[in-house]
Amino acid sequence: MLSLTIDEREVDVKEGATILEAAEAAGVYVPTFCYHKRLMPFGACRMCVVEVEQMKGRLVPSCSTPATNGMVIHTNTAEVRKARKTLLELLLVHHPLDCPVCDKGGECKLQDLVYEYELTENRFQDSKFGYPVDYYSPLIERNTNRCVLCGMCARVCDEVVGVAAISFVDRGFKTVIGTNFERVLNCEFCGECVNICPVGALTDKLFKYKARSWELKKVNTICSYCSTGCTLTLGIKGNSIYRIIGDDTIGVNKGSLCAKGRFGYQYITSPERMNSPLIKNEAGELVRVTWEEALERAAKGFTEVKEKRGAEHIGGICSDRLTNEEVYLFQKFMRAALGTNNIDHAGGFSYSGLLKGFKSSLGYAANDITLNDVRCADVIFVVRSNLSETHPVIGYQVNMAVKRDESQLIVASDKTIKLNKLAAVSLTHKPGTEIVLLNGLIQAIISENLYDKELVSSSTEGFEQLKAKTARYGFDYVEKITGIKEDKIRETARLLSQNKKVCILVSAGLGIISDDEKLAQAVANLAMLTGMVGRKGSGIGFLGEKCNSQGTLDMGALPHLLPGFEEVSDEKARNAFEEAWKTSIPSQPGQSALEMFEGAEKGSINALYLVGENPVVSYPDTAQTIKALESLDFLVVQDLFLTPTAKCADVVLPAASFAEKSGTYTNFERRVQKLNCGLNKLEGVKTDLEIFGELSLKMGYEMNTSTPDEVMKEIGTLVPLYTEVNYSRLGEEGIVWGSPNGGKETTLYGEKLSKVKARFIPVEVDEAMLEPDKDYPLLLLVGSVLFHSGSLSTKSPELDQVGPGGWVAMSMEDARDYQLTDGQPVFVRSKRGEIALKVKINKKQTKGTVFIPYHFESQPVNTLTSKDLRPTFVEIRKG
Amino acid sequence: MIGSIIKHIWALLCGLRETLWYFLKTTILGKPITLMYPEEKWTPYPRFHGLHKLLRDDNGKEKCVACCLCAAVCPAQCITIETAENENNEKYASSYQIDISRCIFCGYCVEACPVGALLMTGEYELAEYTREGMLYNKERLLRE
Ligand code: SF4
Ligand code: SF4
Ligand code: SF4
Ligand code: SF4
Ligand code: SF4
Ligand code: FES
Repeated sequence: MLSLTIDEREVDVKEGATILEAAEAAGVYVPTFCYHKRLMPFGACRMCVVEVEQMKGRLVPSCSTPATNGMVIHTNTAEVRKARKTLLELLLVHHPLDCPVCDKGGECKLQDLVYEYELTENRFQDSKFGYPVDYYSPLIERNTNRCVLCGMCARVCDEVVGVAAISFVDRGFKTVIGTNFERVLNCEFCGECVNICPVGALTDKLFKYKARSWELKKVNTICSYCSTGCTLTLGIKGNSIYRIIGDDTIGVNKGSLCAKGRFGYQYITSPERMNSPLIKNEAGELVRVTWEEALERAAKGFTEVKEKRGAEHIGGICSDRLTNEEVYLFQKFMRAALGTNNIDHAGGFSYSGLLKGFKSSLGYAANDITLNDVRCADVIFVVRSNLSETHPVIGYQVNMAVKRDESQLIVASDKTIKLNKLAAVSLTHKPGTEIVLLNGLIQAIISENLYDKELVSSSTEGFEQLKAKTARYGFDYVEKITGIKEDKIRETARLLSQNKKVCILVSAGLGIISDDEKLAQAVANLAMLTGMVGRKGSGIGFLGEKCNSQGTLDMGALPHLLPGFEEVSDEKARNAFEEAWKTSIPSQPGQSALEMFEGAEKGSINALYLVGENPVVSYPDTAQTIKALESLDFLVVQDLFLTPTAKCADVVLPAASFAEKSGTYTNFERRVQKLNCGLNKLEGVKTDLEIFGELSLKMGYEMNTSTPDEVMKEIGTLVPLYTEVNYSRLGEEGIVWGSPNGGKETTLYGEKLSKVKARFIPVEVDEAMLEPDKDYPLLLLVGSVLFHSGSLSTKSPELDQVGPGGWVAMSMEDARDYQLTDGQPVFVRSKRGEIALKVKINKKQTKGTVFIPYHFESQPVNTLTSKDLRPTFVEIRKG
Repeated sequence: MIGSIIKHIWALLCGLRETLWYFLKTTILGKPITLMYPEEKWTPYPRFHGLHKLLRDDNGKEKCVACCLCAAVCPAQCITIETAENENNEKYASSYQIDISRCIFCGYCVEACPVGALLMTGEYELAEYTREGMLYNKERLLRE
């Protein structure tokens, strides 16, 4: 500890703190341009100069001078003020001062400081630069004339985002911030540079000239795309969102956002959004009706099927973008009002890693790490996860951990990804061989005696089976299957078993459908073996795709589990719910999404209720999906848009977007965070919560809850994990369930796994499954891309502009073999179907594979895939 | 005593000097100040605060750059502006409206304008038959 005096105030700070940090701790304000707490000190602007008694004769920049014991500092003497004032004068020599039309006006640091230092005239004069403005880059406008050369944009792009798309160009007076060869920006479009620029040199094009900053009402809410759960600050004027910014003082993301979160909000005001319920008339056309009629019809349809065939012939599938409260009401509606357990979400695939994998191995269907653990980890192991695209803000943490704190990164991936640049060990394996690789690692750790013997013997079971089953994964065998060499496996094994803070990160979701259950078990085996589960700061992050992937599990949108992971077949648990809901719940587990779709074809499911799900686009095997939907007697779809799925429905109910409702989401850390309603609902729509309540009433079952708050109170009484969750206590940081002290301790598994029964479950894969067919030589990899999440984001034109669909990525080698050039139209064909796309040659793609993103309606990749979790092989021919 | 009464009356007359002078000027010595409005119109003083006017520059282009400072400063909050970008990447007011029925004619908006685009004219005949008539849009404010 150091103690020093700043402006007569005593303050104690940690060793290594800078004077500026000490001043902040003392509550003394020092103006800065080039300092940001997320970045390394840079010392470029000299705005932060102070006087230090021990360093007489000069002014020192406080942001980059370490504090020492006994320092006496003055931050606001006449000399300091004079220096700062001169600096501002110099900055203004070339500054255009077009504040009236500058979108930064009103929140500009330069403006504020010029005002604060009462600069009314300038002693120095020179002509202005008159650099051309970059009007041509998508989403971001660059006006170098206004730049104060603080370098924060270039630094955030490199240090946080890990792209380094912009940097200082030229020297001396001519220095500007530019791209290479002055091309237009072609980057991740995260907008972090815009957010951090203290002046109006980098601005948000969507916000350009739309409003002034002081006119905007700020509402903090949670991003509705991925499961990171970033806090967004909506800028609202009238009843529209004008921009989204990150506030660096709040949220798990501390101000960082990705392109989806920052620019992907325009779907809310899309003219394509439905604003009236629709029902199918005799002619088979969807016509606009009132809510009364639509709900009446929906209730009648369900009642008919229920009476004619029984409640078990009705099923409901919801999206994991609903709030906790909505998911809870949805399953309550299905179970209590309709009387069926046929409930599922996200296609039934996306969560099996957590639910089946982790629950059987470790006892909880949840992660035990936080975003901060990732940032502070010593070793990060990324398996089957292109997280810089699926969960960009988690990617930023990995980037910072590696670049700033020298964490060791291991990347196991089937193609070269952004993270490979940072990796200490790159394990680029053959597609689909993750589990073999993990088994190989386990074998190496066991045979080299690197495992945590104490933990394994005291807190786990099944080690002997694991040892026996993985014994055959010797180095040669693993190399044959995965293509990874012995030395890399040894190195990884060594890194993972050092008894340090280790995080394993895996992505999941409808984009990457494979055998998640086995993958999760294999990862859990590795984690238990190396003792990282239950160790503070270590653990596994199985990253769900959508904003409420975790909460949807917690709230029991599952065929066999009630909210709070209670088995429906467990009489005691069921009784508690029956008593509270004043009805009976069937004791038999219901059908999963897959079974429902199969059942629809066979006639065992006759009515479906799809909420926010778009199976025609996002589930595998589109032909089967459509056939199933067509064989139904009755289909209700609830969504924002008239999706291809909604077009098949008998009743379509328009729902509200995340910005138009309140509620809670639970992110991948199990952090329950509050959504704050920013907009009035679009005329003609209702929130999902209202719809469930009203529909239920029409079916003769009253829910007794009408606001999210009331629903959460009910959840609190029935779900022990959520008793802590109370709207008045949620605050900006949310609450991590299962952790006392508001999530400050991650104690899900307890010290040394004391709270759970941990089991090793050996897993194997059918390696023959990966052999290509001779007619279909290329392995199809379906996945997500940076600019999209699910099919919702494609309704935001801006994201579509930077991340358009309609392409298939293939390796240079394959393109050469097939004599294809970039942009050439082709047909991609599998056993199930064929689609027309354009070739995109990607040198990072592995030979023998092609990649197609799954988000796009116009690019229905799922017509090629199958629901059986087996890889799909395709052929390509010129179109 | 008498002296003090005279002193007081004298003081009173001194105080009323201007008033009395106007009284005489508009009665015995001159003609009445009352205008036979509306037959007769009053000519306002040069700095009178009347109806606003948006100005054009020498090329006939609107001077207003849509900075919204006038709206921000207006204590009666009667200025509503919507802004947009024109084909030359410049900012302009896609809609500009003053609700004259709520305006208190303080003139702060004119003072706030950084480009001298807004002026207060001597126009004072602002009565209307409808409330809508009191809403002055950009076209009306840009009048010649
Ligand atoms: S950057 Fe700041 S000082 Fe410069 S024109 Fe914009 S608002 Fe004014
Ligand atoms: S938008 Fe993001 S990736 Fe692009 S230049 Fe800015 S910080 Fe870098
Ligand atoms: S563009 Fe903005 S953030 Fe970048 S150096 Fe210039 S002033 Fe700083
Ligand atoms: S999409 Fe994910 S990473 Fe991006 S802002 Fe939203 S929550 Fe954060
Ligand atoms: S202050 Fe002047 S330039 Fe700004 S909006 Fe008002 S009239 Fe236009
Ligand atoms: S903030 Fe210290 S030099 Fe810029």
